[in-house]
Amino acid sequence: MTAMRFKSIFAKLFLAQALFSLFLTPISWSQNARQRQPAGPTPRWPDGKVNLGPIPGEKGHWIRQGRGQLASNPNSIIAAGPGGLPTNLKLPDVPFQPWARALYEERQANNERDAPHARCKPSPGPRQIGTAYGFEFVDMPEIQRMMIFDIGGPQSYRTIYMDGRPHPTGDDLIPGYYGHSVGHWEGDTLVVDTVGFNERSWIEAEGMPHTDRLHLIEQFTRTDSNTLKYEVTVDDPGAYTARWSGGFFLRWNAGAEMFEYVCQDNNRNQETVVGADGAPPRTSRIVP
Amino acid sequence: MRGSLIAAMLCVLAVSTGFAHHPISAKFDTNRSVTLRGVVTSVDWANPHAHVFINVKDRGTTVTSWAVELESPVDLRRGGWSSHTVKPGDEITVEGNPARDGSKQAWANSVVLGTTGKKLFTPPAETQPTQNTKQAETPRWPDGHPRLSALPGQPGYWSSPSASSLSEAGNNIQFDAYGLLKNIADAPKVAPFQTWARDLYLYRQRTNLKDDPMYVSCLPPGGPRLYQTRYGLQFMEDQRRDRIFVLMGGANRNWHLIYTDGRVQRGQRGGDDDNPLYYGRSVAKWEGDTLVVDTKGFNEKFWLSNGGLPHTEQLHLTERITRSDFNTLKYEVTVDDPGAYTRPWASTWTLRWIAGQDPPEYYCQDNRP
Repeated sequence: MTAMRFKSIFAKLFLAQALFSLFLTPISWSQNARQRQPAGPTPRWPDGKVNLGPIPGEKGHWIRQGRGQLASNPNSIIAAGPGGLPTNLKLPDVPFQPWARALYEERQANNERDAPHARCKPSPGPRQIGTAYGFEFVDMPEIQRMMIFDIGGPQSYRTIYMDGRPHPTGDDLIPGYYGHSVGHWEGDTLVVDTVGFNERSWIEAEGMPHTDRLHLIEQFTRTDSNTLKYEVTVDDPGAYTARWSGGFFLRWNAGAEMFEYVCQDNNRNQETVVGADGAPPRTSRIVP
Repeated sequence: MRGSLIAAMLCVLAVSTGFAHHPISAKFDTNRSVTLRGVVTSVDWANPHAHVFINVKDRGTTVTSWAVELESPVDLRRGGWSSHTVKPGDEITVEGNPARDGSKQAWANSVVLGTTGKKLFTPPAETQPTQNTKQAETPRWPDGHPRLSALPGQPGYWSSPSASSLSEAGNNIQFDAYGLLKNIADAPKVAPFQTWARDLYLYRQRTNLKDDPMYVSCLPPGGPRLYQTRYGLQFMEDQRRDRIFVLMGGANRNWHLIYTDGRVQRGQRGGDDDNPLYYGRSVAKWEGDTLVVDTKGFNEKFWLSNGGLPHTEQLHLTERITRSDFNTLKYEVTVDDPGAYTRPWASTWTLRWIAGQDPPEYYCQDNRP
């Protein structure tokens, strides 16, 4: 056995361990801690609008069930788990441009080792919604904003402006990780339109690429008290040949409160997944 | 190296460090200056600091690559830059400070575009709050409590702290923008240190804050440092749930929760009292017009201040937050940490209202691997 081969086995062991800690622990934790409640009707505010949070006096937030795939890929390196929408495309039918498909395949072939979310970076809609430990919607009607607070990943927040404002244009639209989100209700569905993304992240967990022309249309529908249907239309003429849609279901984690999670605390993703040789030194010229 | 001195003129000059928000003096020698003329090869437009890479040619054929470090894209934008202001192929002249370790890196204090002589970058001034003289009164909720957050349709956030570092009230010690003491002899007076804490503080100061966890590893600025971090913070009062979000603009744009629902001061999830946190566990109640925040449960992995004050897990903070008028937030903190200090001590400063905008999107993690 060559040293290289030996190293490769170790790398795989570390990978398995890293993936376990990154992806499986939250699920098993939540199954232990979750209080299962029978599903009731979709909760509403007194004005009839759907309440995407807990009913007054209670606690809870949303958490993914599986990996949060936008298209079914039975060959992805981590089992997809439950939750995919039955209408999701099969991966070969996703209208990737050739470069984007090649990049997605390379990311899978590399065991998702460069996943930005695992390096504590904020990520666009589907990856934020599908983060480990879940997220909370906080409806602030008085200031006409809907907030999304992620627990896993960067432990950061996205603002959805509900006041009817348009997206900024030209140089005023500053490319960012979460983009600029505006939302409105269509019946019982919250529709969120987002533009202004940088290209430093993946759309979802498995490496779907995008460009700064990415435009997302997300639809959030609380179909009953325990279920949130998340569907997103990906519109990115820089990476895809057509608009396409996919999504997943999230479940209500009743009684749970958000907690402090600092991704940077002991992030070993670089060493465990890439291997110590691939870990840039902190003295690299890019890192101040 | 010697050959490149024609193009890269190193000379010993005292220069100001501008408004860098990171302690650049750990990496760059702010007592020396360097002038570089070269052709741009790439631009890394990332927080916390943008980089422009240039090839500097000497009289002969030698080409040396330099990494020129600039302020954050947030600040560069405020100074009129965009990500495409400087492009590969442009010839630029950079004046700045060289790296202490002799590597081919420089901190830019000015960038001039070679073809036009246009000055592209001078350190931008600190954001000045829009003075909102028409609304001098403290805004209030219908129940009479002061409103710490923005009014509907009138966004804004808190920034521009009146002090850059934490030190005991009344001692009048001068710091620079990063929390470095102007006079290192003042160190023992900053707080009522225990000996080990004083020595650690001195070490951090003498090494130009080079090990700062917020700076090196993008770890959160817990405790009072949250209120002295660049790009400010917003409060979001979630009255339906009796809790207040503290939303950071800078660092890693984290959220932190302060509970006002009367819960007792202990772990937010049962049984995790042995899980110390960066931001700790915060409960609060109103005393008149002041929000009194009580926080325990801190870990020891962050610095208590921009200057590197130490603390232990015994840290217990009492923060008194008062919006004394529309544009002013008074922040008073009592530090009680029998592990690091000989007695409880207090400090106070104000933050100003930056009207008309939300905090910029800034993530320290942006250019970390």
